[in-house]
Amino acid sequence: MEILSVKNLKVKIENREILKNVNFSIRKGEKIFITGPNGAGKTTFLETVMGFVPFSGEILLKGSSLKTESDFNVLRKSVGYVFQNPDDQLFAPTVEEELAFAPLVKGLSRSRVSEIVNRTLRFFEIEHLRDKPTYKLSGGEKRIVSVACVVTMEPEVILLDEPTTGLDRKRWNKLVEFFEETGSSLVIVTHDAELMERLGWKKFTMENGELREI
Amino acid sequence: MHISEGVLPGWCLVAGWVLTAGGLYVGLKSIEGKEVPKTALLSAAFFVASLIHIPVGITSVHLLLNGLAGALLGWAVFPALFVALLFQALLFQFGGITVLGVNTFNMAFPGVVAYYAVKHLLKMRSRTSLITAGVVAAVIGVFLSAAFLSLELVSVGSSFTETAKLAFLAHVPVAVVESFVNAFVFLYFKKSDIQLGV
Amino acid sequence: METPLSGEGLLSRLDPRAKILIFLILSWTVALADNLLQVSAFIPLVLFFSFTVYRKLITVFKLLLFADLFLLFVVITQVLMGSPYMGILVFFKSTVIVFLSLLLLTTSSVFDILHALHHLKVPNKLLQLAFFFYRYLFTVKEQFQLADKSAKSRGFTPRTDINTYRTYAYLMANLLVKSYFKSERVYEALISRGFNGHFPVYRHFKFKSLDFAFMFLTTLYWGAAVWKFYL
Repeated sequence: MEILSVKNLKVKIENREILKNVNFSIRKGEKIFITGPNGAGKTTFLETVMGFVPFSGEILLKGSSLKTESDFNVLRKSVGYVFQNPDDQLFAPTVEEELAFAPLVKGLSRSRVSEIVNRTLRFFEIEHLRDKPTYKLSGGEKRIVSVACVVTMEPEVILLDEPTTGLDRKRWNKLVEFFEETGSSLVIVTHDAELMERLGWKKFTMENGELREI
Repeated sequence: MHISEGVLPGWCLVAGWVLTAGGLYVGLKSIEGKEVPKTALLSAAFFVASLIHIPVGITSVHLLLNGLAGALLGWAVFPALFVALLFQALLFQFGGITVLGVNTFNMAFPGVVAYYAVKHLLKMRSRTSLITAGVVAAVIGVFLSAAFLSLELVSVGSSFTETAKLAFLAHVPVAVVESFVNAFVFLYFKKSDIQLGV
Repeated sequence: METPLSGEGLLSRLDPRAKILIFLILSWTVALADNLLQVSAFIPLVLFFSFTVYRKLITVFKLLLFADLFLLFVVITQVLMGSPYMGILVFFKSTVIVFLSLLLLTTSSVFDILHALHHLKVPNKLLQLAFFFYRYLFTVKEQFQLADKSAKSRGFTPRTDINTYRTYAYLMANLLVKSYFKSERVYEALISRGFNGHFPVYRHFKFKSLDFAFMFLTTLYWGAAVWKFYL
């Protein structure tokens, strides 16, 4: 079943066509890469799917078309988004609270929230960072936390914008392990050739605002 | 709430400018070197934060955040809020130039009072003292501002009694929401192990 | 974010120092008016100034209509529960002053206004504050929007509950922390470039004959209005 799809998606910013007629869909559990040159519209594509950019065409969640801000609020409960720059994404005082944010917003009980947070901290091997203020993290730590805080949301789809930038080998392997194991659908924007080769998923390329499979 | 141009009598406008000039003098003397860009950027952050619509039931409020600003900036809250209000007048035509003195005083003086009131509570750094500090800063900041505003409106003439009463009452939900927000902000600073004071 | 009428019409070509001085004289005179006749003495002048920005009149009216909820509140409560005459008087005083501010102040850019205030002897430290505030306001606003987006993309929807207030508090505290760190980098960058607390001014204002004519004629108008209606 297709969870998320877009039809004839067009985005114009200040009279410049950033996305020209993009068609795309992703099924439950499906995992894909999007690559392409800088400024081709990859980040804009992810932001548009999240409902942060005005568009024409259609964005559908499980077959129903999304129009208003409250439609997208529904989408944002099941589609997670990992920013290109973790500094822009992290805002909670500590790593633990950053990870607890999404499940708390969902209205889960305190004990359920701490169960999810603990499990995620353990999986990504960042338990020692639990009480650390997010601004004191190193670049690689911030990157992992920015993924982990979306993982605790337990989304059906995760959109990730260059998630492997600046990671050392150990954390890179950890992230790859997560990508392989997770049951969520993944859309990964990346330039990391090694990552794409290792996982061997379907690849799309975005060029001049057009998306096609390669 | 910022008073508009053309509402208050001349003596009130002049008194506002005189008091604000005094506050600006003390506030500017208290900052030096790197505290100048620090005060400016915190002021910009307060400006942006005070534009957020926060839902309360079916409506929404803007926060004053003058108690919080005072707690962090001390007397520098005068120049910080003066500049923010000047730009509100220039960019959006909120408030205005002749009332800039009164509006700055209404916001900044309660900020200074809040600064002295919560200074020791913030130093104790326990959860309870930080939450208390948040509530105290909000109550002093919001209600003292509201009281000044209402008194100034009454000074226009007897026909302004009802206007002044309503203006005061409109601040009640703001004080409640701001108490929660301030408390969480102080707890945030503690958890993230940072002291922002100027 | 820029002043709404920056660079628009004849008034934008005048020296901002002249405009600020004239604005102060006129706006204080209107602010001190205590009857409609006194206010109305300045309406022809405001209308005359308005012709110079005729292409932007719609912008001006939008700003006047939507900017000031407090004025609306005062006028409505006065008409319903106080003195309707006061409501009308306040409305006219406020509108005339806001018009003057739009036409005389906001036809100059923010940097020109700050520069002019420097020549008008406003303390340097206060202007530095204003400069840094304005220079980074947009960056700070963008920073907030990004964090807000981050919260929303993790399922946050504002409601009336403690979770919402905590989230907003976190977004605000995060913004304060980031602005604080930003200010340290700004200062380091300034120091490393030899900043000594004074901004060098490259461009200088020159008082032209147009400025003298503007000051002379408006002061004359002001004198006549005050003599006829105030004394």
